[in-house]
Amino acid sequence: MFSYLDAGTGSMIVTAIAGGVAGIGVAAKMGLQRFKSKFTGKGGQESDAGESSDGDSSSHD
Amino acid sequence: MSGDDVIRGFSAMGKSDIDAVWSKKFIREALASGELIASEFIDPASVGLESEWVAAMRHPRLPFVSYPYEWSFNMLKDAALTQLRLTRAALADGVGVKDASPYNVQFVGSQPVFIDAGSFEVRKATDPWYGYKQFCEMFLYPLMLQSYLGVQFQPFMRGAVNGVSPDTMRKLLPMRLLRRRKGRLIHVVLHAAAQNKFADTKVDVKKQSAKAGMSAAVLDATLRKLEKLVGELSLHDKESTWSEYSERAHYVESSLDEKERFVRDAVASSHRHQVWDIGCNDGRFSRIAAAHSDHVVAMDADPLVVDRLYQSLRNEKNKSILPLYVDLSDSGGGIGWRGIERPGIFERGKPDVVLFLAVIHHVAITFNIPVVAQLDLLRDLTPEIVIEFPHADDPMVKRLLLNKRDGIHSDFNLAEFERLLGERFDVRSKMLLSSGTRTIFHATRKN
Repeated sequence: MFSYLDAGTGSMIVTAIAGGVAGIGVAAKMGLQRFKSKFTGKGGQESDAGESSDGDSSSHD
Repeated sequence: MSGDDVIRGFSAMGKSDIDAVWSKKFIREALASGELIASEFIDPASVGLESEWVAAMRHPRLPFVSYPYEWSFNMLKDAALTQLRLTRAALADGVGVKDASPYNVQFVGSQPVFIDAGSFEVRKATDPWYGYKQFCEMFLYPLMLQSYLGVQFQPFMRGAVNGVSPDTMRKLLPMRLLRRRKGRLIHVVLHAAAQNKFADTKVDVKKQSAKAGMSAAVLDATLRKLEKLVGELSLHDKESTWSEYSERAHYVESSLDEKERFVRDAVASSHRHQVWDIGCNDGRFSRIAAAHSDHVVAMDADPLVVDRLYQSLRNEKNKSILPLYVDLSDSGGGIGWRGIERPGIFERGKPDVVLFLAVIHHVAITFNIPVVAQLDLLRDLTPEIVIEFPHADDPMVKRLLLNKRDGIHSDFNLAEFERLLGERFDVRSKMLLSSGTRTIFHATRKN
């Protein structure tokens, strides 16, 4: 009822790594996206229009 | 809630998910096996729900709601395996499970049952598993604490409603060279590091995981490996203070027989709905009570004793006795939001009868909870008790008093007990056990 879920990138990457061979590529790609985003400021948030991030696209519950 | 049922309402958003999910094979199978609580769609208006609730479901009321901090190791382990099994089966049917909280698993006797029909949602092929972090915090880490370190997990789970965080777990669980702690590197060390590194939330994780190629096959591999890891975690403790003890050593066998008869006569005098056996040890008297009641909550302050009882009940597929770890000297508080989200044990049931056998002297002498306070608790809790009082010259009482200051428990004697009992309860019957140092009473609360 009040369960708290943090679907953060960190846990997602680890979920993929924990899948072993099957998940390692996925984990690497997620990590890579995050790495890119450090430089471009938007790599982590896919945006077809290429808009910059202003923090409003983070909705999950 | 209404009568013996629990009603769950669904909003328009929830309804579209539940409609799609409920036609799936894994739901039918989980309902048939009893792993998912019995659920029946009903007309929301028929139970008085307002129009914002567009669908409703009826579940049977659980005999008793228990929480993970009251479970023994193997109870938490079986709950974890239930969660993983259901999550995997759902995944195979294109359904996601939103969370992974042990509070969504309940025990009917010794059988784990998943109770949260609202946890299921239709998933996109590339959705991640949102429950992973919660699974670690509330199932995996507590089990690792016990299995790898021999540390009881219950105080951690009672201390924090969300369990143990990856960062805390990393600090608690050191590396070991000789016997590898399986799962530590990925689920603890890497998880904590990744949490710290990517702790921002300005990311659409769904899109990100889709772009990286997340798939049901990857998640199934993760879940399968977790099942294996959890399956291999075991309780290494073989002995505890009470597991080998059994107050029985102090009885001659005839004493035990007559005590059993006394308890049976007291409980069997009418059919009972709920009986609590406080200080249940191996469950001998719980089983007697179970023969004359709908269900029994068997409590003990030693988690290893509770685990042994759970395992024997599980082997029998017992559905009427629920074993729980409860330390009477430190019980009753609620946890979570305002202390009411998960209410304390005394708020969760109304026993018709409480068995309080070979307990009062331990709580009085070891934990310094006065006899009068214990009798007040029983008076507030139940209309009827079966209580055993060991006299001041009982060998166990003497042993407990051995290292206590002289005179500190001088009021622990039969005459004073009977006086205090008589102020609160009417004694229906009593018997001096043939050991000669214990008296057992059957009493009903004064009006």
